[in-house]
Amino acid sequence: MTDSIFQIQNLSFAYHRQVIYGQANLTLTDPGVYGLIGPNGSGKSTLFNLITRLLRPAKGTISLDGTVLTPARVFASVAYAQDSSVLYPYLTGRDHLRFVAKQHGVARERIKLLSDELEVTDFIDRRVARLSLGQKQRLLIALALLPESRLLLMDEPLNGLDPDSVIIIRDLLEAFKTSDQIVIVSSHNLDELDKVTDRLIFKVDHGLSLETVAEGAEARYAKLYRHPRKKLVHHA
Amino acid sequence: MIQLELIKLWRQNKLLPGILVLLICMIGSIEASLYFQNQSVNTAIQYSQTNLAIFKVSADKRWAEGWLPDVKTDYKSYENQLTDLQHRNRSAMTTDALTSYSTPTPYLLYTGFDITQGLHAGENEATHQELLYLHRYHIGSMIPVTIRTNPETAGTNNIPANEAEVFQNLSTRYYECGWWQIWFWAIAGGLLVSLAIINLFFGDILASEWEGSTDRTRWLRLQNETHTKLILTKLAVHFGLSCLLLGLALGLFLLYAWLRTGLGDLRYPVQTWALGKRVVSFYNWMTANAEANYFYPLHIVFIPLARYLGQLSVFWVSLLFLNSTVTLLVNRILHIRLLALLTMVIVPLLGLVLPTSIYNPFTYLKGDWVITNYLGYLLNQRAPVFPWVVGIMIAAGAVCLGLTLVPLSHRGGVHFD
Amino acid sequence: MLSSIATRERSWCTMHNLLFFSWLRIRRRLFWLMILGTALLISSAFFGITKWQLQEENTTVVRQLDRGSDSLGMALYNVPPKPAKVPPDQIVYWQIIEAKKVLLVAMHRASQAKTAGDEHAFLRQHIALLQAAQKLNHYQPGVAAAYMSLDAPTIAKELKQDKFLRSTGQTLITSTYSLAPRALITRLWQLLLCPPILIFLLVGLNWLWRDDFDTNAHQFLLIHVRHRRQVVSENIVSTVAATGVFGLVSTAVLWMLGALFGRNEAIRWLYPLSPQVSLGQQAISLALFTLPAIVCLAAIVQGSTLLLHHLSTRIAVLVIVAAGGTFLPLAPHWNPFNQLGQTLLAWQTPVNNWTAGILLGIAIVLMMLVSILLNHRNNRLAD
Repeated sequence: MTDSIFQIQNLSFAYHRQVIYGQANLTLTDPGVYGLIGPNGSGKSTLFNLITRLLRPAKGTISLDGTVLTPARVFASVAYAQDSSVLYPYLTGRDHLRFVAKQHGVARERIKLLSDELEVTDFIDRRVARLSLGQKQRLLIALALLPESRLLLMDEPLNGLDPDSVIIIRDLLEAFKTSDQIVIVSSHNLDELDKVTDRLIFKVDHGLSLETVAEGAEARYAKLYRHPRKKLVHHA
Repeated sequence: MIQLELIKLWRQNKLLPGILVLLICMIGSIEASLYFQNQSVNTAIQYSQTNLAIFKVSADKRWAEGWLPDVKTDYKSYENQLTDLQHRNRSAMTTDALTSYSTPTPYLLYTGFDITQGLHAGENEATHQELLYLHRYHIGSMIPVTIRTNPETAGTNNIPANEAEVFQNLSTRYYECGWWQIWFWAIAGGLLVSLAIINLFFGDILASEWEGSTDRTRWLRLQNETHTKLILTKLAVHFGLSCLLLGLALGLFLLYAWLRTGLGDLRYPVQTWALGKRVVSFYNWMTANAEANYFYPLHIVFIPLARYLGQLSVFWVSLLFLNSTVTLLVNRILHIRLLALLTMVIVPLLGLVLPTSIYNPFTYLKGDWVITNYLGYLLNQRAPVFPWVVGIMIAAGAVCLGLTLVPLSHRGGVHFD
Repeated sequence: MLSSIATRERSWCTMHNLLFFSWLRIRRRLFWLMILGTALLISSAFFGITKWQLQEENTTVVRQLDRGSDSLGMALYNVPPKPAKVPPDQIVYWQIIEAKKVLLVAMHRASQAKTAGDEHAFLRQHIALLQAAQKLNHYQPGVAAAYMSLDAPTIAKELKQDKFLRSTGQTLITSTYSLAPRALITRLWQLLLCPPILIFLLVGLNWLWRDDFDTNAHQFLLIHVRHRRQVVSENIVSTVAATGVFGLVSTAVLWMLGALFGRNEAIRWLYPLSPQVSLGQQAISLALFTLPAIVCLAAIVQGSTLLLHHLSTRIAVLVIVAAGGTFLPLAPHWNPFNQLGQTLLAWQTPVNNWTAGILLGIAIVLMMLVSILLNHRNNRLAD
């Protein structure tokens, strides 16, 4: 048996009778950044929800450092940057950050530190409803980074970011390469993903496949998922 | 656009649950009627047996040497009433009751021999007329046979406190057949309950377009759909679906009632108030004539149930139109979906708790009072109020619609974002 | 030992933080304003309706008294003058006439007192009226019933109650409508705690839970709590607090309105609603039921939010379940819902207080079930 940090064993899950995962397996032995790739609706967010126990697998186990993930263990060891719909639109960024910091027993100074680092400070006291998509994404990442977790899940963190923000997130992910944390990033921005990691997890059929891709994510994606299709014709 | 609205409501899963809830309430109502009717008939049988025994003992004591022929006839008549009640023989009960109500001291065996003395002669008179009507058209009476009363005279009857329960039994009817149940809903405020249920499902038809800071009507405006068209479409959908929902639920209910207890006779007499000549009471008490003309210049007239139900359907449709326009207006003001929904559920139910008064608008929405023209008596009107009330409801609906169509600046209305 | 203390402390910190977060949400969405506004509206409407009903009831009382005195007047109209020396065989006749006269005067004065809104005078005249009726029945059994619809045992019962009320400085409540503050607030709580009404109220007051579980926001909460039961418990606490604030504001408003407009009545907690139960006892029973009823129904609302996605269907199911539990004749003596429904329909009916314990038990079980459901439930908004 290898010394795995994160392991998915025989994971099965169906939603509305549609099988999403069937006996899926995945083992991550090294810390660092991993990309999660799959077409729209293939179940990338579902995988994150299964890891964080927001969904219950029909079968199989998910473990971190040899311990099966339970809600309590997820709270202690997993951080999850979800999509922006989970934020309360009428609360401010600071309200969210303070709540999470208190829940995890994190010092308030860390809020300041992270806000500066992710350039959230300018809009931290604005209601979420009034933030742009990019600002919400940065806030979500700040929330995920507040507690220092062993496993960090990021669901489409590059969505809606302007070039400056993309650079901030890219730098952040670069830093994780050398940490002892595992970071799994789902994204459709394959170019950006290429820049931070070559270790990619592909959602293939009902399973997961970990590959170290030298030729680039785009080429591998094309091989795995792209089907010949008609070109769109514009009628004058 | 109408198609889009219908798809939205279908996807929101509002149509089938709406029909189901209406149907559950309707079936619950008829089942409750049957349950309480059974209890009432059992009580009536018990009372009848007791009264019969008392009569026998006292008659034996009084005419120890042998009963007089008319005492024997009376006893036979009482016995018949009991037997018919036990066998739930409707037509025989009508004949028995008519016989006992055609005496100067009307009575029903299960209520004892004195209680009708405390009633208004008008009530006895109306009951006598109703029994005559039933007898003439060979219609079986509802069981147990009850007196015809009304809120005005019921409040001032001279009923001894120890006979209050008997009076309750004497005046409470159980509408156990399909058509009769619909009549009962008109009397008991079922129209308002049906509005509350319809509003529970469609009461947020416009408010659901706004959620927090999201305004979905903007998307429609981008498709070149105007505010007026949106409101009129919503109105058409709301009104159409309200009618459809109610119609389907009523259809299914009538099917259930037909299989369970039958639909009931559509010729059944319904007490209404209309202009007429002074009544000369059948009874010979001192105040009989005065009390029989209690509602003068109006007086009590019986019409067939079918006519009553026809008018009720017109009233109901007008009420649904008014409800649709009020819903849109409230939704236009309250943009919070749940608040709009709860408001539209509570508003019709207020009609059940607010006291009757000419200042209470819900008094004019009592379908039964409007159709029977009892409201006409309360308002001191000689002509039937039905056309006026229906006309005013439609006019009020049009006013509400006009107010809803008034464009407000930006997203006018109440928000809590 | 130390670790258990640490865990408890951590739990308390989490709960405190969750509660503060809820308060923030309530404040930022001005939900507190809506609670206050609704409380004000409902208590004012309740007061208005009661006032209106009471007015109608008083009119009926006056009409009945007038009808009785009219009949009596007609009966006394043709009475010949009383001879200076009453022959022995006419003594009873003249005693009856005297009693009728006293009854007529008392009825007339009672009617006047009611019309003038002088409830203390009405009580005095009501006592005089009942005494006269008793005297009349003494000379000619059952005759009083012809004028006032009361039989002898009822007259005796009412007289006893009236004398008690006079001795304690109180006034009479004819049925259930009264503008005296104590009676008003007892009626209000009877109304609010009736399960179909309370469930309706809680659908509104449990907004926080619905806001979480009808949107994706619950993911945020669930990710950031160690145990999901903390979310359930916190929501129960905030719902109880919101309902408590709503209840207190409504009570205070109603008390003030009662104190302002119900001054002609004097009702104390020891007012006998029936020989078995006083107003105060009924209020204590309601107080016993308040917390279990709110917790129980809040847990039902929580469960329904998790199980039924569509708001309208959810409300319909909730109201049907609550109304069914309250009005279906299923073990009524041991059914807490039925007890709460009964007390609204007939406020003189004594409540079986033990059922408050049963209700608490049901509430705890339901809370546990909701926690289990939350742990085993799949996120319905997953992609």
